This record gives sequence, structure tokens and C-alpha cells, in this order.
Amino acid sequence: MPTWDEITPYTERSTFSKHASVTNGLLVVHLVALAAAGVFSLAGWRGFPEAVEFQTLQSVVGLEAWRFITYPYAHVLEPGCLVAFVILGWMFLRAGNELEREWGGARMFGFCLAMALYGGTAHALYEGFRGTFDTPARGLYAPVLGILLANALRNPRKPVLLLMLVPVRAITLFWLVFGSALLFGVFAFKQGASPVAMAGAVAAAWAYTRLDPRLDRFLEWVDTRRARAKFLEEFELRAQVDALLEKIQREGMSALTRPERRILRRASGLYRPPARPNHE
Amino acid sequence: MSDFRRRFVRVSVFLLPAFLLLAALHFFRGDLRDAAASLMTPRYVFDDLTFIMRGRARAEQLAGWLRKEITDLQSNDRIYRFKTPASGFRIEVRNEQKPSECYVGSNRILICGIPDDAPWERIQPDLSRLVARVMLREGAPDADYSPWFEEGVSRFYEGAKMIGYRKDELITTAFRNQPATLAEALASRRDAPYFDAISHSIVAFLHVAYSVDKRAQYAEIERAPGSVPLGEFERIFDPDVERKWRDYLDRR
Repeated sequence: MPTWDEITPYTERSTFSKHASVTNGLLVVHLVALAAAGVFSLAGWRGFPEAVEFQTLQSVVGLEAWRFITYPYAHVLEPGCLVAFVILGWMFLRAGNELEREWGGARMFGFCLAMALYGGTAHALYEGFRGTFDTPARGLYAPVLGILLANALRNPRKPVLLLMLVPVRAITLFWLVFGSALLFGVFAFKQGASPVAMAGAVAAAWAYTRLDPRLDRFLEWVDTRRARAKFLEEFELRAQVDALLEKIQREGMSALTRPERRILRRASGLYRPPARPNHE
Repeated sequence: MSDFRRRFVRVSVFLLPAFLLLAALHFFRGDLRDAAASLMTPRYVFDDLTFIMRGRARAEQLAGWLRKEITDLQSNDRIYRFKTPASGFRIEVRNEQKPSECYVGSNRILICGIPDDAPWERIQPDLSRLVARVMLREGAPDADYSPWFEEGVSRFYEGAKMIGYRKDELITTAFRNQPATLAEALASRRDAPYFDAISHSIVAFLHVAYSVDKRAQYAEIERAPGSVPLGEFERIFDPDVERKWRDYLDRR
């Protein structure tokens, strides 16, 4: 958030995206899913929540893999869950759009799916170790908490408003929200607010934020090494070609041995002009 | 490295741990593969009873019957502390020829060998037996029930009326195939011959020969974590319990 003396008529003071973004799109899907849950609940049908919620047995043993990414859209129409939906939905809108500006839509979308996957995985492992498989995971808690942490870790000391009133640091706000969500999850576990899924997604988001730059650096290093090796190989090849050309000038083509001809064939790739685009 | 390849590597590295963990869980809990219901089979939900089977009419009749029997079972129980799972029952009916079963730690019951057009009454025996077993386990999640006790109680409450009564056919089978000693019967495993009949005969005998207090006292020991100490059965009931049990079988 810029300070008063930094603000010019061109300073963008809101992180609110009024344009089409993946975050806004995901939120719309959540609202549609909430409406669908309401309609199904009023009609007394269980088809929609049954088909999208995360059930460990069905997902892991029955290989219904879609549940790993659809369970955030299984909303529960309980007052506590609805309040949590409004608060987390609002925070997702702000933090998600902010993060998406830096990351781009594709990475944001992938990250949301990965957070849901890790939340589901944590829930499945918990049920696997506990030995009971009858508590489904539902709700947007896991991916949203992952997004909030990733956004907070970008600039942990950035001032943000708690309850739209009290200025606090971004990372402090995240821990407050995460603690409250865990506490809520402990009490609403049977309604699908799995604290284990939340913790799993947050752990994955933390690992991603810490490891991604290192992985990037590692891939850069691999690229540099490869380019260096290629350059040295080319350098050596050019030296060999020069020697061969001198030999051809002295003794003629017929004096070349089979390995020398092979070197010339390899070297021909170096002097071949790059393929021109075909405009026909 | 092209941008696409780099992205692919990053996504793979990020998602690999999740896939490895899930694959491990999938293979290590292969015993639960049958417990996962097929999505192609219709589901009928009646409050806390979910039926995964063909035929809505059958599911409705089963739900009405089962709800009443569960209520009766709980209201008349002073010994076993039958309790329904918090997330209700999830009952799947299949026509493949396999033994029906329920899964430890799960609210799922799998009834097998029932054709799609079979009357709903044919589902009752297996369903009542497995419901009683799930409710027995649910009453004491940490219990390490003796196999004969779990089997005997669930067989005792099997039937269209889950009130608990002796099954003459099973008593006759137990009489004809009596084990050498009662201790052997109490220590037998699920795969032992005539396990169901002998287990049922012991539970039915205890219901006839001993008071509710004695049976409740023994059930309390079964509910405690860990196996029942050696000689506890005779100590609670009677040192002469074996002779009385054989007499009970003789008088079938």
C-alpha cells in the first residue's frame, strides 16, 4: 500500500482486479457451487455434494481423482461455514488478484489446484493413519489459506488491514486467519472443514514459496552448464575441422579416414544456416 | 531448456511428493479396494442412511426397516452399548458372489451375492448382522474385541427383528462340531471351521444362563483396549462354564 506522499494521480491504490482474472473466475465458480448446494439442499438431493466432496476411500482407493480438486467447491450450508466462506472468499479475492498480477493466470490456476491436491492428500493420510474413512473434506479453506500464505510471504512486512480497520503486517494477518481457521476446523470437522487439509495446503504453500526460487536457480545452473558444455564441444570441433581442412588441402579428400569423415559430418551442423520460417 | 520444459519440470517437482504419498496409501490400503463404491450404481440417501444399490423401492423399504430396528436395538440394549456411526451408515449392495463384510473404522457395509431383482427381505440377514457389528465397534472404538465375541454378538442380533435370539440351525451346527475345549473356541480365529456357529452358541448360551450384570461385566472387559486376560471368562461367569455350555448344546 503506498504512503500519502507516494501517491500520484497515476498510482494504483487498489489491488482489486475489475478485469477478468483466474481468481475472479474461481470465485464465481465457488458462488455458483454455493448456489447449487443451496438448490440441492432445498430439493433434498445429495447428488452434487456427494459427487464433489473429498472422500478418502473413493478418491484414493476408488481412483475418483477429480475429488482432489473439486472438494473446495462442496460447500456446507451451516451458519459458521457460510461466515467462513464470506471472510475467506473476500481475502481470496484480494490476495489472489494481487498474486496473480505477479504470477500470471496459468500459474495461479495451477497453484490453486495444487493446494487443493495437497489439502486432500493431507486429509487422506490423516484418515489412513487413523484408520477411519468416514469424514469427508469440503470447503475452500485449504486452497485459500495456501494462497494467503504465498501472498503474505512475498512481502511479509507489508501493512494490511485486519477486519478492514486495524493495520497489521501481512504475515501476522495470515497467522491470525490460519489459527482461527484451524480452531474452526477442529469444531466443524464433521462438516468438512478439515484442519488437516488446511495444514497440508499451508505446508505445501510454504514449501513451494521457499523451494521454488531454489529450483529456479538450479534449473538456471543446469542450463548454464549445458550451454557451457555445448560451447566447449563446438570450440573443440571447430579446431578439429580446421585441422581436417588443412589435411584435405594437402592430401585431398581421399586421404580422410572414417572417423575424420564423421567429424566433418558432425561439424556440418554447425555451419548449417538456421531454418527459415515458411510463409506459404 | 525451453520455457515449456522448465515449467513442466517445476510442476512435476512440486506435485511429485503428493503423488508418491497417494500412491503409497493406495497400495498399502489395498484391503479397502472393495469398500469404494462404484459411481455407476444409484445412491439413495435417507437422512443418515445411504444405500448404494439398484431399486429405489427396495432402498426405501430397507431404510424404514433398518431405522426402526436400530432404534429398538439401542433402546433395549443394556450390555453392548450399540452406537450408530456419527456419519450414518453407508450400505452398498452388490450381486457379485463374495462374503458380505464391514470395514474396521468405516461406516461402510458391503452386502454381496444379492441379484438386482431380489426382494429386499433377502438383504436383511446380512445387513442386520453387519449393522450390529459396526454398532458394537462404534460403541468402543478402542476395543480389541475377541473374534468370537464380535461374531457371536452380531450373529445373535441377526434377523428381520434385531432383538437378539438363538438361531437353532447354528446351535445344531455347533453341537455337531464342538471344539475340544471351550478355551479353544474362545481363542479361535475367523477362519476356523464353524466359527460363526460356535461363536453364536456361546453368546446365546450366556444370554440364557447368566444375568445381565454378569454379561455386562464381561462386555466391559471386552470393550477395554487390549485382549481379554486368560481365565477372565471363567472368573466372571463360572469355573464350570464349559460343562454348562455343553449341556446347553446337548439340550438343543
